[in-house]
Amino acid sequence: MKLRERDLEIDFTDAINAIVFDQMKVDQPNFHGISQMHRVDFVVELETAILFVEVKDPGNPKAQSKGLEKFHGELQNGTLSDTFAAKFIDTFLYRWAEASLEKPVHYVNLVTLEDSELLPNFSDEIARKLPPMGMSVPRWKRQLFENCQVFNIELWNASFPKWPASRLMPAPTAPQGVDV
Amino acid sequence: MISKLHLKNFIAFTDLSIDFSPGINIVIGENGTGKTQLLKAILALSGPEAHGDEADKQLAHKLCRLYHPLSDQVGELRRAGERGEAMLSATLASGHEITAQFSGSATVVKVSTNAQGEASPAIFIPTKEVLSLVRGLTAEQPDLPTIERIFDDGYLDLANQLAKEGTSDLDAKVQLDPRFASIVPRLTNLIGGQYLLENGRFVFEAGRYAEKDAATRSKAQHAQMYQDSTEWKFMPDSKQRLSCGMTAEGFRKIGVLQRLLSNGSLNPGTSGPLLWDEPESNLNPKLMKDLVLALLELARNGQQIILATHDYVLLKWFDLLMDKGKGDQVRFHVLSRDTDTGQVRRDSMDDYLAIEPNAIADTFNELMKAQVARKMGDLGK
Repeated sequence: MKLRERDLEIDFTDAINAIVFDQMKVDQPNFHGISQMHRVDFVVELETAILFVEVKDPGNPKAQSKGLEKFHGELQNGTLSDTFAAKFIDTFLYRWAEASLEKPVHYVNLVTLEDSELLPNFSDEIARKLPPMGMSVPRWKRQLFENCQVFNIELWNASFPKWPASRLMPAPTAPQGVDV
Repeated sequence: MISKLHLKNFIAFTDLSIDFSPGINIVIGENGTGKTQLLKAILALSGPEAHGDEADKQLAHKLCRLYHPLSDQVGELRRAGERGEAMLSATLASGHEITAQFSGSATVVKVSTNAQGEASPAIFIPTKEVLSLVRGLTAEQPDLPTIERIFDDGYLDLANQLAKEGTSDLDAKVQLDPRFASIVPRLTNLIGGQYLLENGRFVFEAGRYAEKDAATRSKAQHAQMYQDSTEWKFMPDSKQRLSCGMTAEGFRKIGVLQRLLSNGSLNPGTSGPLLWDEPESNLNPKLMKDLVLALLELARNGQQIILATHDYVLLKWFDLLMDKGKGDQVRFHVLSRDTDTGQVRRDSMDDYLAIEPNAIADTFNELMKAQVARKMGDLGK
């Protein structure tokens, strides 16, 4: 099942179901409908697990400098990881309310960062902001997520051959900027 | 300043040639690819032993003192299994060339050079901290054979340079030479004090450089202040001094740089290349940014720097802090071992992202994959 976020596409070949979770067009299937809640881009149901997937594309050749500046500023000051954490938590609540959280959840994200060295640190930064914030809570019987990680295209494809990610080559048009 | 090094049949290297930037050079590569050996070769060829009538014997001795071959004979440093003599050759920016050659059974080396006179010797900072060793290494009646068995000349040369007297008054130096005003206060404030040589040992005086109070300046000085750089003065915290062994090892490494600048051993524009093996060892990563800023500033003032490192943080700070507008030149030299031949190869690039293979990045990727394997098992595979 192919899902697309602007110029990036991921084919979840072994998915039972895969939806664009942040669908805000009322006439489309799986309309989300609560703009006040943060939303990840995709939710994918596998046989044994659920994936929450957020996609960011700072490596898009068409990305404009203003958008990139904002992205790197947010990466540096921690607001980007705040946003990633908020998206996970709100998506988790929404799926709970839908009674669609019966399997362990993995938060795997695709961010087209060239410096792969930044990925482990950024992954941990997001994980630290997700409950239980790195603490041990003996009262808890289960956890919100199994894994929280951010990949670039190369590492994503090396890690998940069944979910190939690729950049779509858009039809040649007049040059235009895209949001990251 | 060294512009080129060529090593043939020498220890790890079958045939390696490397062109250096006059600014900053960063040698990276996995363990066993010969980074330290390369730095030591530069040290040997640029030192006084490679010049003069006795160069054949002295350079052979120097090489043995730097590499400690088991037999104590220079011939052992020839790479086994290769044809031909070992050869080390350095070309300096002045055009001066020094070449040393020797066979596998040699006890001396054949030194040839195309010019008279000495080059400015390089300064080598080894991985372990040396400041606290100075007292023992430079004692009046040291047990030299024992010392030489423990420490190679990389350590002894630096200890001697640190112990050199000179204008140790850093304050005066900072005032007189605007180049130091941007480096010395930065290093001092980074570690919260300065190291001083007292009675043959280094002691630590806590304090900070502060901008000199405007009220203490005459009007003429005040006017000048706006023309020149900021006027700095070292303000000690107290009269009490600490033994250098009581201070953090990472601080002592910064202290080495501080001392070399203060006694004139390191004088940007005139001294030979600064060779630093793993500046990151024992250094808190938080100190790295300021260290990189100081090194960039030294390079801007004409100091050639050649570093060997394993550290992503150090590399990345160079990538982020270098300012091509200020003339910064940072060149990365990657040493790697060819999987088929086992030979050490070298690639050089001026852009961090072009580094290939990047052992440091590979390590981060390994971490990513290990996390996927541990937490996600076969999902997606």
